[in-house]
Amino acid sequence: MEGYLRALFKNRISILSLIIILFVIGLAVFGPYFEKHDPLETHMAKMLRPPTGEFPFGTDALGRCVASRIIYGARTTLLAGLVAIVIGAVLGTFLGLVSGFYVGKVDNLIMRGLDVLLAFPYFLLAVVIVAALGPSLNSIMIAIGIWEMPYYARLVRGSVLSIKEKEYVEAARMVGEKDSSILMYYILPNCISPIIIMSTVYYAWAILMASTLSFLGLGVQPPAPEWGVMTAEGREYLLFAPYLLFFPALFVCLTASAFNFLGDALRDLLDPRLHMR
Amino acid sequence: MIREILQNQEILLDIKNLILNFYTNRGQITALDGIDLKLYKNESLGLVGETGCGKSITALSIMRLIPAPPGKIVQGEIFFDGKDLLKIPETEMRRVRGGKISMIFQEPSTSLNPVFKVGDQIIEAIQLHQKLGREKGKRKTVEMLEKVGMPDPKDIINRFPHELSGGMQQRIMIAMALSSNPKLLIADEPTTALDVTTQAQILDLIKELKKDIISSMLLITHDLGIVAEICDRVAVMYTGNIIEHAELKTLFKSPLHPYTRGLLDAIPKMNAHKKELGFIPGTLPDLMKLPEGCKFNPRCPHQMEICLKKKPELEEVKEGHFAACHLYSI
Amino acid sequence: MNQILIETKGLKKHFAIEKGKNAAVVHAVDGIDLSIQNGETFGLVGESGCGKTTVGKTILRLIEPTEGQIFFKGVILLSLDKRELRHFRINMQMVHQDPFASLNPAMTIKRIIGRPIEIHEMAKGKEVKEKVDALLQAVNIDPGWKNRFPHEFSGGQRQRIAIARALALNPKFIVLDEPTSSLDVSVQGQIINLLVKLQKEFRLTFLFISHNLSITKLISDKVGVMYVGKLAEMATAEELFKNPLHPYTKALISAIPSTDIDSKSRRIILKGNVPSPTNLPPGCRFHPRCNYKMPLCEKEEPKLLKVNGEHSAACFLSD
Repeated sequence: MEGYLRALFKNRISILSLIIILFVIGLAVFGPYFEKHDPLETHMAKMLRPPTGEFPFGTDALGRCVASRIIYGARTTLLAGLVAIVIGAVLGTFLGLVSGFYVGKVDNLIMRGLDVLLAFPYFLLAVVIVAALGPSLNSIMIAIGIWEMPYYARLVRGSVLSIKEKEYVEAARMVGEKDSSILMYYILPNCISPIIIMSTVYYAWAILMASTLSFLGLGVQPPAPEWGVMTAEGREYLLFAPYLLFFPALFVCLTASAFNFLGDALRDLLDPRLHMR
Repeated sequence: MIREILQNQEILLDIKNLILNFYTNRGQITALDGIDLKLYKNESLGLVGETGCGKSITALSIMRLIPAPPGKIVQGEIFFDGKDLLKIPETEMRRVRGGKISMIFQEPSTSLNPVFKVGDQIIEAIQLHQKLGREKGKRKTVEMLEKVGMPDPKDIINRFPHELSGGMQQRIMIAMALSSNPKLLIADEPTTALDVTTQAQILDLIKELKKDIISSMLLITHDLGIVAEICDRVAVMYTGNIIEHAELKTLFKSPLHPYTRGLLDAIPKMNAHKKELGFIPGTLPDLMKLPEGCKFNPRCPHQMEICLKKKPELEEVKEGHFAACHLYSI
Repeated sequence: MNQILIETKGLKKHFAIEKGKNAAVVHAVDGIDLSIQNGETFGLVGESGCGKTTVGKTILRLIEPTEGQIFFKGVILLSLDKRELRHFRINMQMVHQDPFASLNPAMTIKRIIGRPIEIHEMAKGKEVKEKVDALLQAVNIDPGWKNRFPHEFSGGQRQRIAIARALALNPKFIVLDEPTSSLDVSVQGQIINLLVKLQKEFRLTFLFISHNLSITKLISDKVGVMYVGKLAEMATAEELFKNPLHPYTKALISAIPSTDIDSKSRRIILKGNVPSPTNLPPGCRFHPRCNYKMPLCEKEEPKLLKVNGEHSAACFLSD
């Protein structure tokens, strides 16, 4: 274990990514205790102030403190991404397990069904789901979860297909294990590793999606602070108050990239080891 | 030294105090812990040991094929034909590899390029080291294939590796390796991946070739039976050290080191009376957590106090018979 | 004591590969008749691809045979449905070749050995733990380590754990599929000696599958030699090596590299290669490589016939 951590630290980008991730999480968890301004409180007299002293990131058109909105927005974005991938992981893992284990017609049905899902341009899919459920944080979490689902399913199915042929599964059958026990105790626990690694990358996508959908007005609604929403609001003022768009967009970019790089580094690190015993 | 002069044997390969480390995420592993090995001209030396003893690594070190991170040769010299192979430039080493020193590997199916015809692969080797044109190269290839006992060589040169059996693939490897008339052939577990009857064919072939093309050979294996068939001298390795070496008959008839004795006992005898097989208690040590003193001491039936503290040196116990064991230290 | 425990009649397993134009059938096991007596070790030897592992797995119905019958103490195994078979499996177990792949990396040793006991409800709660401890002790593994995971053990230790698992259900019959092939030479003896000891202690019957003739001869009472899906010869271990009848058996025995430096026995070198199981030669499948080939051998396939006593061979030379 320590070996992996040590190797992780050797890569400069990994270190940077880890720092950014810890910073953003720290911001989300501890930020509200430090930031005194209420993100929803408007100060019409102080509107559109550039970043200075009292308002480190400036104020927006309604006089709200951008910094505190960023902090509270962090919570929303990070949480939205998390719930989304949990939904995707649970559904996708279940489908992948069934598909890979039973193969044949069941496998075909599930995989072709998921192919249909993947064939949809992802925005179209999100729009369809949100249109059905109404624009809100919950809707986009479900939409992103459903969108992530086929990726998890494919990943798990691949693992199951190879694990299924292993001798310890055959041994399990010899001692009388039922199919459901084999899936639960023999196959699933040995799939977890790739699931976790890919989740970091899928999480990056989820955060991006959540912000993008909110940016388009399909997700979190104003006045709730959320990076995507704030970016959308900032568009109008790009020419004379660029910081309004800059900060939320920067945070989305940095956070998603950081998770992406971390996921890549983890995958490179753990992949060859997965093949060694 | 005296023996060499007396028996008029020239040294072809001389490895002096070779130390090789691997630096991994889990820590440092000393794969070779000071190897001293001499190989004489026209001799077949068997290098024997179990998993992790470093025998293959020794061969790869001679060929300078150890990946440089994570591996690093920390100390030592490998003299071949008068030059220290570890000090010559890479361009010169490339001429040595496949030219003066050839190697055949364990898994013939992965040593041959699957997308090229077998004949082309041999011709390439010939052209590289002997600077012959394509036509001459093709003729030499057919000649080599005949020498290694391939049926219908003119047809075989147009085949792809996957069309041939394991035994035939290994013959191709041997043909390729011997095409440059190397001074030294290194064979790393050449028959381990083959069936018993195919192994017999290949061993028979090697014995034949020893009479004419193969001059000196370093045979690496875990199978003492194969060593007994082909080799003149044997060196036994254990976790990165050579713990015994001697002439073939001497080693088999009067092994000195307890590990060698254990290995010989572990071979099932055809005329055994009981349902019992010899073994060495314990397991091979984790290369990260090697015992103090003699690395074999936890498993040794003759363990003494000194074995726990001091690592034994390889000494000439009897004439021509070397062992690294405190039982024989002067 | 002299009763037959396992018997197979005309056991066949064919695998269909590819469909349509390139359709081919692999005759992995092509008609095996053997019988194993209670308390005996039957050694099944052959080179890679001869079908010996498939025979072992078919007897246990881990792979369903294409044809033929399998009897376990008279019970027709193929007549059992899935549920009955699951229950019947208490009587027969398997030890796999690769100790690094036969133990679930995500389970502790305690669970690996304990699960079979729990599934078949042979004990509950604390009793399970006691049984696991006893089994570990029987295979010389410290019971204090039962909360460790497989990767924390060496190859030899893992194989012993696999043996403990096989014993957990008190089976009468165990198929050992190359149990020492993946282990270092110096450690193989630990496993072989353990198996011999356990056989006596628990009155077990073994099917010992291997490509290593020397070890097979050491541990077996009766030996069967397989060649591309069929039995070439069958005899007691002693008899087979003293007086081999089939030319393939002779070649196999002479191919073993000997450490007896003084012996100057001439080697029988077979020409050619093992035929592909999808493209078998007509008549005797060994004839293309045989030094004693007769015209009859190219036309008809010899049957495995008794030559004397327990010794049978499938060769026209010994008819």
